[in-house]
Amino acid sequence: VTLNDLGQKERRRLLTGPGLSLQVGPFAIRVRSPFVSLDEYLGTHYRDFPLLDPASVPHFSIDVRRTTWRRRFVRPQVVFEANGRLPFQAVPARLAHGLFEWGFNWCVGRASHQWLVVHSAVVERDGRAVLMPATPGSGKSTLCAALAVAGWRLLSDEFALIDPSTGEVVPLPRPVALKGTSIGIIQARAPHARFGAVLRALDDLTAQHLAPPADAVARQHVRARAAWLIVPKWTAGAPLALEPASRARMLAHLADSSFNYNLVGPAGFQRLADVVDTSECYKLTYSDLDEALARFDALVRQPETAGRTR
Amino acid sequence: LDGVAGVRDGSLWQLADPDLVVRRWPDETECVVFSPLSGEVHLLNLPALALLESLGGSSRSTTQLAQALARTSGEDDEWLAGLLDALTMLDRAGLIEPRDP
Repeated sequence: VTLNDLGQKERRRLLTGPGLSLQVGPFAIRVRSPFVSLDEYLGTHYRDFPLLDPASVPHFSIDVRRTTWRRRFVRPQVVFEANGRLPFQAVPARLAHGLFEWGFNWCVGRASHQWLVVHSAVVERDGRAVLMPATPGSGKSTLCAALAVAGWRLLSDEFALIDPSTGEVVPLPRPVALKGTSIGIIQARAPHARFGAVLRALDDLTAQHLAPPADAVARQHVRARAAWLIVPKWTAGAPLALEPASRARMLAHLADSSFNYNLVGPAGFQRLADVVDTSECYKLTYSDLDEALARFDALVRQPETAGRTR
Repeated sequence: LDGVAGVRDGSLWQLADPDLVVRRWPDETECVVFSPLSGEVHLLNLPALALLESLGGSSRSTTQLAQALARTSGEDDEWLAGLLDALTMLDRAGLIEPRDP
């Protein structure tokens, strides 16, 4: 049973009452909120996720609530609380669903130590995953969204969850946060995809969330093996270049991008190193999305050279 | 070497963390070192790694390190200056630490 099987009325009753319990990737979450905008957002962007028994104990118990009663009428604000902790300042109520996603990211980054958590987009095809650990502004999310709407399976736009005992990547196919001009680019490629309401921050930066493809959610229990580590960089006017990357530098980059390898200890470091060792490592420079996508497709068609161990 | 600044005090160097984990690849000129003690990862070139490895589980003076490494690397003024720079860098990174003789 998925959230889509619930009527709008029942969804709202759970959200404003005992909580809406969903299985999102490996996490059980329970969400409570009085905000209609978040209710509608969950109804479109989380509609394919399995419902859980409301009585089950969640990994993350999330409240997206009003700050004070008075603030309900005057410049309403929203605050995010997870498992009793409030990581952020209150923000305007119109950002409720954005705050939910940012807060969910915070939960995964700070409290998922059963996995090695790396800040990275992940897509998969034929059981082989591409990890794209990249810095903000590199075009990671645009590339990830373009791949996801072009038939690659979305594992995550934000986090590579690596099982420390097996090295497998655990899917967490949540909505993809797109910003600025990337929104129009992906909308043009996927006119029927579901996009959330526009989030407009004080600095006038706009953001919208692309709902995860239904197939990605339906297969969220199916893990993948890391086969490629690609650090993308969008550069205006640059010709496409996929160049081999130093494994040592890739490992240092992965460690820098990891939230918790050091908490897992030497075993966490060794596992990250194993992922580097058994993957092909590249730097990708691109300006044309179609060229980049064609290069990704070509990668899949190549015979496997990864899996080398030394 | 005795005339070089920073060497005359005869201080000894030792690994700050004896349980360093090293990952290197035969065809690459850099490697990655993880310190379980600090939880930090460091990208090092191979000469810096050789310096760490020459310390091993013991304490050695700069002069002893220079003598040990010069056997394989040769020795001139530029090389010695590089050695002192590397020691300073490894000290700042928290990978080695001075110890009273």
